[in-house]
Amino acid sequence: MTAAALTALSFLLQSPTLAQALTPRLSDNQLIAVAPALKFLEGKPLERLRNGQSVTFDFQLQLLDGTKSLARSLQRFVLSYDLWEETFSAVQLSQTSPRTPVFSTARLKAETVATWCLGRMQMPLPTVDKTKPLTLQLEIRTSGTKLANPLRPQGSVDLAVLVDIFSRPPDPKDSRITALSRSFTLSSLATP
Amino acid sequence: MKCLCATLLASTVLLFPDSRAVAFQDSTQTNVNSRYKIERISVQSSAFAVTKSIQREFDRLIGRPFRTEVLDELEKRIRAEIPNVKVTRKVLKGQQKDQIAVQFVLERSGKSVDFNTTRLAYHSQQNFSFGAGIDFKVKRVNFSGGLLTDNNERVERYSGLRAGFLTPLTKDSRVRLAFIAESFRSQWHTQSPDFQRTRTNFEPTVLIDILPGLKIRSGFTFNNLEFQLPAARVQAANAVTSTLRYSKQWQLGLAGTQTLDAGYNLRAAATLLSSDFEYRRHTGEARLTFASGNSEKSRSALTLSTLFGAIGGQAPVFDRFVLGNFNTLRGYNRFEIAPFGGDRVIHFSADGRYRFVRAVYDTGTISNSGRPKVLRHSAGLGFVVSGITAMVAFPIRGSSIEPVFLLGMNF
Repeated sequence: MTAAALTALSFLLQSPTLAQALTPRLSDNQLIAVAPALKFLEGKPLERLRNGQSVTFDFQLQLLDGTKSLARSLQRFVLSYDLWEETFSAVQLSQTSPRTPVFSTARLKAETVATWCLGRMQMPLPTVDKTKPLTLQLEIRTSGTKLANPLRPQGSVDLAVLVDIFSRPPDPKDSRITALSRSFTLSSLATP
Repeated sequence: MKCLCATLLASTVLLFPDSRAVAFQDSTQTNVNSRYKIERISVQSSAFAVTKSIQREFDRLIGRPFRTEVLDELEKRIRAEIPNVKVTRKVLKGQQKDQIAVQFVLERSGKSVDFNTTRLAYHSQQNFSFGAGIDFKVKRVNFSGGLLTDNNERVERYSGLRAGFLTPLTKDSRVRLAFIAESFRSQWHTQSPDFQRTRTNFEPTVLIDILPGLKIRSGFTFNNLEFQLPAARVQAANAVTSTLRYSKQWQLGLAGTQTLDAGYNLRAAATLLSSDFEYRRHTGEARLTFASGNSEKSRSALTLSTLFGAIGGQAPVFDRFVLGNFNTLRGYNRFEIAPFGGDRVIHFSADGRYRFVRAVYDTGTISNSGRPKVLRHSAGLGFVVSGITAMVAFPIRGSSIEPVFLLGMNF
């Protein structure tokens, strides 16, 4: 059994939800992930969204060589659900100016929210042997406690905050979704 | 007086919230529903009703844009005003297009057993006070019981057991019945024939919620006192007791809250109730608090409080007034001021807090009827962390000053 397979197995065992398929892609020399079947809007976060509240989701996308992280992208998104249009709205927060939204979109269907968020997460290609088997790992966490206004100081985001969030075990009250790609090599990825 | 003015001025300056505390960034950028207006706000409950003040806030928000942070504050206020309630908020489409309906569902809290520390305090000259108890609920009846050793409230240290229950007369009734039973052993700093060795008390009372915030409590208190000097004897101090209490909180915009808590208590012991003591004890107290911010943990607060009382007749020592404890004339030892207590008391206190720094100024007088009054002043400075205050307090006087160290919660 390879190290990558072991990592995948341990990740699956740790995860409270079933891992979901993640596909790597190359776009302008950046590595991105596509997960058309990923469903992360469920359970309590979805209940809160349908109850008119904003919910903050923290995303971590990692490129792994076995257990070693070669590259990582961390982002915070704030979602809300339009009660009248019955669609989702998403805002990506800036990491340099924590209280400022950098990108936002509206009228998303539940199944396209993950695609939009993942599209905002890009990783530069690391200098690594292009024939080496690698995996992509996505982790999404949302806090069990609500943030009334994610732009206020307690909801501010910077890289250090996100690194801290993902470096500790998830709180039982937190919702956590994970997804893992199959093993791949950089040479096998074709630029779309 | 100069000290009082200085304390008030300092506390007022400290109370003024800084720009970050009141900085208000609404959720327009992160919640798509902020473009809709609130059509109605309602309460769904068969057991609870919100106060008029909250209802006015509901009315004020109708027609305004939907803001989750404003509704969060409203939810917090409901929780603060109605104890033991579980508040759930439902947000739905309104009947009119592009409008939103908000519904607060109020249910009785499912918590049935609660262990708590009712008292925890250390005074460098008067030692420890400690109390721990359990509260639990069986159907509509709230029971509570606990152990207590207190060397703060009365002239003596009293240690023992306390138990009681509180029940509404009928479901959703404004009238409640309460019964308290207590048994304490007393310890005194000196010996006197006026000092009892043990005290047991049974207190049946009726509580009536007259208006929102206004309550009256009336009943009887049957105290049985066992004395040892000059010879063993038992005496009764049976009294009619009545308390009128008013509490109200106002929201001062986004900047803070103002809370008023005032009460008057009368205990009248008479031979008609087979009492060996005949006296009337009047106590009035009021507390006004200004707190910054809307959150439960405010950044700064100023509390002004006053206490006055008078006893007519010959009251047992345990029912006499004391000053020089955790709440009054902090910095004094109560045995130094009035070792047998007093039957006249007037006290004023200013208590300011900014973040974790706390400063207090107390002034007051305690005396016996017909004796000269001495106005005393004291001040203290300390820190508050998680509701526990550590403070150094000292008397303000010309003679030698011996600071007192105070450590405790909720004082």
